[in-house]
Amino acid sequence: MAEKIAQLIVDLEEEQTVAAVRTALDDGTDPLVLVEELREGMSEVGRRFEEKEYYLSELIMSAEIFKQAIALIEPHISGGADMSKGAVVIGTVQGDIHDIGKNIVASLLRCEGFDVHDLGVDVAPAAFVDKLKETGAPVLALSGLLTMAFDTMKETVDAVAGADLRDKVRIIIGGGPVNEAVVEFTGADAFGKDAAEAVRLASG
Amino acid sequence: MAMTSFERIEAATRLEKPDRVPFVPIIDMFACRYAGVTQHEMFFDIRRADWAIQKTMDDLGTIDGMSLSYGGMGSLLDFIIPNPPVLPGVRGVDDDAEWMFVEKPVLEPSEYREIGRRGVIRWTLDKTMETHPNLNTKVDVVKEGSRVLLDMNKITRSVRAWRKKNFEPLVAANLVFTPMEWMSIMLRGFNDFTLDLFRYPEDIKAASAALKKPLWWIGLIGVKMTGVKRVFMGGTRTSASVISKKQFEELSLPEWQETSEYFVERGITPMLHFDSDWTAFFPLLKSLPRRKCILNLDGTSDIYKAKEILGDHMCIMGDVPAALLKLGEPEEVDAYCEKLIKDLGSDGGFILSSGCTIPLDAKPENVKAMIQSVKRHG
Repeated sequence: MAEKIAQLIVDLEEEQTVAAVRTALDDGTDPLVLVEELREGMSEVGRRFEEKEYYLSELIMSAEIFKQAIALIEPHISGGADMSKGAVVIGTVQGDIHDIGKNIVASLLRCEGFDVHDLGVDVAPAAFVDKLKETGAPVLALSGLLTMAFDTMKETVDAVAGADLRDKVRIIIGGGPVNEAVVEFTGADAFGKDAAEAVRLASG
Repeated sequence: MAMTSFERIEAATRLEKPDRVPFVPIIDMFACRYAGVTQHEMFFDIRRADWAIQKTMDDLGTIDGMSLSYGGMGSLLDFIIPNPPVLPGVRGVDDDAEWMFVEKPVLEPSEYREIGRRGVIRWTLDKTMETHPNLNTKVDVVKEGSRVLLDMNKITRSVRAWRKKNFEPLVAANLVFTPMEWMSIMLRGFNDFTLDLFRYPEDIKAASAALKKPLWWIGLIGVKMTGVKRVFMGGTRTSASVISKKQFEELSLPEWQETSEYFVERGITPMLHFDSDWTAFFPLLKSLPRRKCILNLDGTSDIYKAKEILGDHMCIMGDVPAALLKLGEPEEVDAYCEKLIKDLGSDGGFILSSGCTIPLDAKPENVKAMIQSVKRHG
């Protein structure tokens, strides 16, 4: 059953995946086994994306199916089980409201098992710092599409340093025009050229 | 004898070799910031936008023309989109903010077929009155529509004045969207529309069939008013950065083909302004009319691959990246442009341009380097 679920998500079979998860839960399958199988399916989708067999739309669809399946499974997982791979704070920096890339990355991070704190768009540097302090997240992901966002990314990186968190937090950036020169300008650690790479960077 | 800007652009479009590579960026956002004109003034007072462009050219050097222009387009953009974009100086937005689309669905999947059943114009009018923050009654729509027509008239006068100065507004205000791009950007939002492609492909096809002609007519009206026989056809949501090849071939490519053919049949050049990465789809673009289109890339696609695959099929235009113009040095910009000019322009069929818009916070010395590059290397 579990193996079939992994294949169903790879095949982007939305209704069949959800139905199979529901049936497996009714049959008493260990929910953690189902989560692992779903993640296995997502890993295969990620591999196909990196090999250029799959495109972004397929990545987005698989993440949507994963989200629905996890919502079914979560109530069956006992409180003691910790599935989190760690916390990530993410947001689109101040002065920019573009959220497509940020939302995709947040969604994929959740699929990978990260505890994602999405602050939304037009986020002030202080808000990122406050959330990092509150969560102790070791990863900060900043997004922006406008070139003006480079300046607020830099301000955010500086604010993290000003709060004595810089050596505890890995800062990754992304967005349409972002490249290595922007990493250097902002003082971030790395940039992801696409959503899959951003997830890989967050994983360390 | 030197060619005029118009002749230079037309020669490149026909894949011939002009006297030098033409330079046609999207410049007005940068020009207004450079000249001290706010983004709000640019969108709503075309005379101020034109003054800013002239001052920029006086200071940094003349150019052959401008690609898409936002000057005086504010009322049109606010009017034709049921979920209007963030515009500077409108509804509390700062006067000098950068404009942006808003990703908010105003259409439910069950409504895709409704568009055709009720008729696009009636459906859009009702949807606008339902969702637009300012256009809530037919009186509001008529009043604002009249304002748009007045502004379009001002754009027309501006276009004529520029052409007399040997400066070519490449596509003026002649905007065309394919139905899928329109639905993703204006009606459903990126994420929902991307999921809809898997869930409701037949409904999307039905909506596309209903929307296509009214969307073409918007561009055609622009051409009739401005006299510029080119149209801006923006593409990003149906790029290889987003949808699969299968989805592109089944849903999107037929729209690009039909839309291009519609305008080419009327003697109008489609300028395909393709943001994001289209490289994987380049071979498929050979099905678009030959020697009749301009392919404008933003620095994300492989423009050298475009030349290799499509160089004998359509004019290539691009693609100095925004990040380079903001963070780079003039020598780097010059080197980037020189390579484009020599590798892509030596046998014609190439227009140098900014990758999408010159960012409003680009370094003026970098813009100057870009302007000078065609005179130095072209």
